[in-house]
Amino acid sequence: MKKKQRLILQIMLAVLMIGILVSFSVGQYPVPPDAVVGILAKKAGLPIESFWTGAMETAVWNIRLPRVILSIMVGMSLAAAGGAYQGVFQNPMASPDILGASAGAGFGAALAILLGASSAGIMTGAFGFGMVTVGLVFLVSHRAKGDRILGLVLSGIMISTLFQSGTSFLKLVADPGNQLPQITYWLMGSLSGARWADVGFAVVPMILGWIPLLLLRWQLNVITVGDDEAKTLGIHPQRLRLLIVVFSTLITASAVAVSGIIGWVGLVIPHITRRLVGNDYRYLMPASMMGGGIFLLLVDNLSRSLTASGIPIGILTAFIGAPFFLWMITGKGARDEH
Amino acid sequence: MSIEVKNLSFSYGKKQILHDISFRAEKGEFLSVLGPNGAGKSTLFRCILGLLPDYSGEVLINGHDIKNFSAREASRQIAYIPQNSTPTFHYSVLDIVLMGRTNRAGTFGNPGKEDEQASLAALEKIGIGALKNRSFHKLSGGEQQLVLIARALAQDAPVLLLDEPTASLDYGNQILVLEQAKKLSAEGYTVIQTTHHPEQSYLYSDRILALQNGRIIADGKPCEVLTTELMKELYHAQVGVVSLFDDAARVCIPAEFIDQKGNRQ
Repeated sequence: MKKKQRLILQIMLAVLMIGILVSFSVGQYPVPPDAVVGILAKKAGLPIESFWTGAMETAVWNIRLPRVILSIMVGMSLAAAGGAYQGVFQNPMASPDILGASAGAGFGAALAILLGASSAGIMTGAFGFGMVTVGLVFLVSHRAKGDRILGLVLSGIMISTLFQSGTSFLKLVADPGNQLPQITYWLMGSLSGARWADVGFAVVPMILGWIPLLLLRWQLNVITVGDDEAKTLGIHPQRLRLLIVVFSTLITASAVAVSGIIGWVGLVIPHITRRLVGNDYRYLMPASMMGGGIFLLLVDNLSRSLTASGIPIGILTAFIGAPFFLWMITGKGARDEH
Repeated sequence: MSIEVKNLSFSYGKKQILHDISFRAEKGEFLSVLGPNGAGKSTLFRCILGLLPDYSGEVLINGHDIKNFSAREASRQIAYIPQNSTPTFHYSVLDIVLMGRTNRAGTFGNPGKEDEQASLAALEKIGIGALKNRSFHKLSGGEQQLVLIARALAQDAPVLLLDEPTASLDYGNQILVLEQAKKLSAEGYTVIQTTHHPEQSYLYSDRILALQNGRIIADGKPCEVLTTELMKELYHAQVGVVSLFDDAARVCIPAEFIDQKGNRQ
């Protein structure tokens, strides 16, 4: 069992590495693989004579590399948060936006665009509103009576709806000439404008969120037996849920801030990964993160190569992912667990 | 390891569920808690397990108030064996038993080699080592119950609380599970079960506690508690208790049936 799971993790890592190398050559401006390796090696400080053009160097270093890194980071974050939420909410249908992180971030971004903010301002608005929304949901749910998890999820759905309506209102009053298309495009989710500044914005909060999610992965197994039973096994279900929500929101809000709303990944990548390595979070959490990274990297490559302007990745994730997932649960990909 | 419940009372809002419950179970004792539906058996368990902390009175383990224990410390003293366990996702039997070792790993840690060995040993002890790689949710109810007992053993707590362990099992599995519980109490575990089977508690346990409307109406040796008078009072049913094999076993039978045969009232 364990050997198999370790092997799958290693294969996923290899696929990710190959995916990264291939990604540099994909796009409207082809760069030969040896030039890619040369440019990266030179940037890493190795003494190598340039045998490539300055345009190639710009394409690889300033455009493709940040985009590759960002797509992997966003994919890892959404899948990790989704997997963790499915555990602490004891619900396979949970996804990272269940507590309103995406709806809040979308509202924050739309508001920032309406106020004419810079791209840094839009990112900050999205991140801030994403965090605040989930905080609000948590506070409201504490006053909810009855089942704690249900109270939290219902509060999340209601407050998400409020922010979505708010976003619709902002679109209504936005200038249809430039602001409205910008808001609409942002909400669709895209990595086409990815730059080093985006990577710099997201990298710290994401790493701060990934580490605890990885460290708490055994407790995530235990909480799926239900709060009461989990408590008799020696954990604090409510405290664990709070920690997971805080760190998942941190990475989800960062992901949405730099990429817009990319749905689907957080819900389905953990499920595809469950079929590969099983439900034990000791393997599932790292595998989900790699799976999310691989998936978003591949989809972004596709989005880049299909059209010159690039189809927003938020549209493509579902177009490619949903049929694949249906194939997995029904066709040849389906197999009984254990 | 003894467990003592002292003057425990509990209310849900204005409705008082448990009234001044006091009893004590010694190391190696097998105690059955009998009582009709709604008598407060589950509430009593939930208080002892720290799941309903707002009770008055005390629960003491070897003289230490359980309220002063963290969840981790409490889980090393008392292991809970629920009627059934339904994790949201499917896990292997070994993983389920490993969850009993959570109280050994740190908050941020994973169970290690030692924990895995302890879990395998617990499975072997219950005689289900062969199930270790099976999927827990695909096992029969009896096998699942045994896995949950193995998980409690892996937890390494001296007190075992079984919540109606035989409730949904076929007859053979009921015997299997009770034999295991009996064996564990003989080894020194303090075993407390709630049950709806007076006859089984007579056969297997050392003491019976009869709970009605949140009050203890009898606490004593099975031969003192399992009487026609008490069963009638406890269940509000016309039931007769028949002694068999020199009182090695007692059987409860609806009284009108006994009347018809004219054997005994």
